[in-house]
Amino acid sequence: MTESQNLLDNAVQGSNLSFFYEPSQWVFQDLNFSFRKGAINAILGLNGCGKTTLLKIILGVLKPKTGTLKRFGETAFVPQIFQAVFSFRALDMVLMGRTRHVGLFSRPSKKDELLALKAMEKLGIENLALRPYPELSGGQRQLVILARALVSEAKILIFDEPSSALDLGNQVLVLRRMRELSRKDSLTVIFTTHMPQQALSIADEVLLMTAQNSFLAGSTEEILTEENLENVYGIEVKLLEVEKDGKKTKALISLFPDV
Amino acid sequence: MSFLRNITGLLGTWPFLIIYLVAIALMISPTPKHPDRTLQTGRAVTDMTDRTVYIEANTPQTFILTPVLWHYLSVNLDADPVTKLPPYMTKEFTSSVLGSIFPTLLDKSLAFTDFSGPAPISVEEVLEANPDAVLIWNYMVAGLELVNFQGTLQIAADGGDKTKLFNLLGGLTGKEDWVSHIWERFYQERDEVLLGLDNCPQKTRVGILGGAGFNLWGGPSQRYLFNNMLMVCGENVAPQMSAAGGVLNVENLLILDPDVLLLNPYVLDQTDMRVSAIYEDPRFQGLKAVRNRRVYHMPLGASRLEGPVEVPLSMLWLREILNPFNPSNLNLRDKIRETYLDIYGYEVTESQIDTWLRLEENQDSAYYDRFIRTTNGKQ
Amino acid sequence: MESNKTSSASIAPPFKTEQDSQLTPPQEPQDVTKSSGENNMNKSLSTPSPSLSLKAKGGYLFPLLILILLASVVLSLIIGRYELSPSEAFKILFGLNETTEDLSSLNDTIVIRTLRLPRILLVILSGMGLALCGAAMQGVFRNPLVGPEILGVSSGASFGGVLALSLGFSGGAALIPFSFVFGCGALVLAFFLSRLARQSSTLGLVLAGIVVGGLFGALTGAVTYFADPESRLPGLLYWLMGSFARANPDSVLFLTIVTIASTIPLMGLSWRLNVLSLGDTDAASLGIRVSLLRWAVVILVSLFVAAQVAVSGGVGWVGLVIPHLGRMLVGPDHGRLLPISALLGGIYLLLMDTLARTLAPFEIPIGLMTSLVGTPLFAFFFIKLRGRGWTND
Repeated sequence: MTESQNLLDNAVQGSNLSFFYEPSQWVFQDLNFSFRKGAINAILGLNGCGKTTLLKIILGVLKPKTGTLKRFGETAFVPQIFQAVFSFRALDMVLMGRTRHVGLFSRPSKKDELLALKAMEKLGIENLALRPYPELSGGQRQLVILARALVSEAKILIFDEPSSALDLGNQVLVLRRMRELSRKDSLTVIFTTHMPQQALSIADEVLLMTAQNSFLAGSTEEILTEENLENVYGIEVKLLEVEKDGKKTKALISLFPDV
Repeated sequence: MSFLRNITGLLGTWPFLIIYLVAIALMISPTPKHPDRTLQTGRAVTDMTDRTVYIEANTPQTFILTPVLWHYLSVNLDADPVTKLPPYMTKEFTSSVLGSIFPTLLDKSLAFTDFSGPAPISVEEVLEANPDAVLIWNYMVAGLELVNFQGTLQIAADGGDKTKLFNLLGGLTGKEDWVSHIWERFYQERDEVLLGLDNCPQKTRVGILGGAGFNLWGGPSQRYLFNNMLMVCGENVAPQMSAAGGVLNVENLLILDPDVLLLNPYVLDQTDMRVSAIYEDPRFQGLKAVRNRRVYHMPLGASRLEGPVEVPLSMLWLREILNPFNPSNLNLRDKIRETYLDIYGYEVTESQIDTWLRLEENQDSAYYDRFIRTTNGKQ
Repeated sequence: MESNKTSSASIAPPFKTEQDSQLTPPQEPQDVTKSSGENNMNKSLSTPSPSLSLKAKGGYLFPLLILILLASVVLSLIIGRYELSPSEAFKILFGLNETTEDLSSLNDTIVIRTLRLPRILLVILSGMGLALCGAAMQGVFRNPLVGPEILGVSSGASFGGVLALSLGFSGGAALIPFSFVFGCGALVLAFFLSRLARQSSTLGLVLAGIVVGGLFGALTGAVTYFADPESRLPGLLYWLMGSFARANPDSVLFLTIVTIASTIPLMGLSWRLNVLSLGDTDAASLGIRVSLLRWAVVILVSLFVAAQVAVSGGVGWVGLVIPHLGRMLVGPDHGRLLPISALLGGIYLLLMDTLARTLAPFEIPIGLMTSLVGTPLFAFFFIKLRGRGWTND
């Protein structure tokens, strides 16, 4: 994300973004970043630092108070938790991802249905198609929503705190799929998280929101250093590198001082 | 192509479109109605909205949907042509003298309960009875107009001009001469009642309680009553009240503080609208009328106190109540007896007169003993 | 990714709604992706035909309800205070009767074609539209307690009617325009109110509607209070309670036009309503222009409600309860829910009105019938069908 980066390679670009909900209570100010196409980008920060707000701006749900946001491609959104008021079936939920391709007074076509099924197959959940969505487990729901995002054929996938409500096994599965989507299908992945480990595991680039007006942006290597993490979170951390099958992964350990 | 793509959902609504188009198709062609009657086929009768209606039959079967039943009966003197009795009239009917004079009417009642709400009678009911004429409020005619019912005679809902009403009834029944006689008699009787009242040196202040939630009568539809009252030296304390009389609180009533309090005559059986209830009601203890025991329940009589037959009687009653120290030399009981004999050819019994006077309820109030029968039937 | 895909991934057509709820949930292993060996869907893969087919609108239920509706219409044409033998009625219906000069045979025809037919049509249109609009509103506002009256439009229209009546216009000529205009005016008022409060969210809209509804309710109360009890008040009260007794070809035509203009687009938007019912953020992220769509639905619904109240006075209950019944039967997909609710509403209101004009020699107010009869009926269905369609969390 240096300035010499070819702009055409960017999926999302924000300059001078600021936002507030209540006047004079800025959530953030003068935010600049660009997310590369095909990369996995993590937005990391403390709770309440404005990650979700930034997401909404990227999605276009909120308008920034200052600055501009440019999107180069359509976005699809995978929210953090999703409670349904109505009990649609999982297939219906996935189908809703096709909305951009459905005309104003129309309904999804056969082709849309097939695509929805395919998306579910890709994630291995096609057997859940006719189940009522509210009856699914948290992990299953997440995958359904992911399928919904996939089926929209959007090039930019945006996740809000993915799998934060899941247990470890399912967390990892979701993260792995995210990486797959980026590598195999060249999708741009943007996700917010408050768990640095997630960023360490799969992110190529990180936007670290440290405090109200400051942020750091760069590759994971550059940004997620012990020093930066300690500054942001105010605790002592250590990064360990683990190697398996020729692949190196970093792990984050927080150190507890003796009482 | 993309336009079609955009409307597949709309095209799918075709069953509903069919339903809607069928509805349009059905309603475009003119609907059948009754043919207009002309002068050739019937005699002309003018209703209270000045419309001319042609009645064909000599004794037209009449469907009466308004309280003008009483007036009709005083003109026609025969209940036979009346097809139906509206449900809310039945109770009044049975508690008055007319119930005894025309007992056959009760069989024609539409009521199956005491329901007395504002609901209009269904037009189908009218067509089923197939009457020659219908007497109906002017605001309820929509259904009959739909079928162009030719015998619709509209009655002005706010009372209107009584002469118009009686001309209408006379024309309808063919008893125009009798109607003239009724009016002649009315003026005579009324003048008799007013004898001895010179210019009302002192007016008695009267409040008419419409209901125990309290509203006082003051609206335009009761104008007839207030005019009559004025003639016998009674003054309505609440003439400027809005039509409904406006709901008062006790304070307002105490400020107005009428000399005499009269109770709504059409209320027949509400426990809190009885004279004794008013006397016992703690809210009213501050009223002059209660202290002096001058609360009376107005007589229903056999009509609604507004027709030429009954008004002299009700005016006499009022005169006696309001001017106890300047009574007329007429005897109300005698007059009641006379009226029913003259008009209906009916001999009322003493106990029917008592009922007319609401004696049981009113006898504890001041000056009412003059209406009590004496042993030889005279005052 | 390990998954035991069978070669015939099969999906039952979406309209087999009954079977859906009978799929037994497999034991949940931790791995959400492991597809259980059991594959209950050994039905032929037939992706649903696009919405042109009757089946897509709710399976066998849709044609069944159409038939019931037709049967109810025929039945209702025969039943009434006026005595007509069924054979006579049929003859008249199909124009096979001999009209004589006799007034009573003319009356037969009049009763069917002038009195009952327009009224039946008016009732069906009202019932269909109210139920459909109610279902749409519940989806847009994501709230089961919402009916089409919530934006104050029916209060405004009621007031317009009351105003016309109190000014002495007892005929229909002024009643319908007054009522319709005030109904639409109520929506405009609610719009500006929510604009002023800078709230075009659902909550803002509902609050604005409550204010406007309250305002017109109070005005109606005031007019009623001052109305002359002899000449004006009874007509007012009766109007407020709702009645289809004034039905005539003009009011039917008027309502039909408005119904076409409002229910057809609403049904066309049914997919987008599904998406909208997910929530503002999700719908927006899926590409829906949330505020615009919401206002479009609100306007379409309000147009209908204003017109419906204009032709008959307010009829409650139908728009609130019938959609729940619909949801219990076919689920929350508006593509099925809207048409089914419409049919249910039409049948229900027709039944109620037929009773209202037949049980007694006077007209029973329709609002009374719908709530008195509707309550136990709804309770019955609620117990039987155990509230499907809304989630329990």
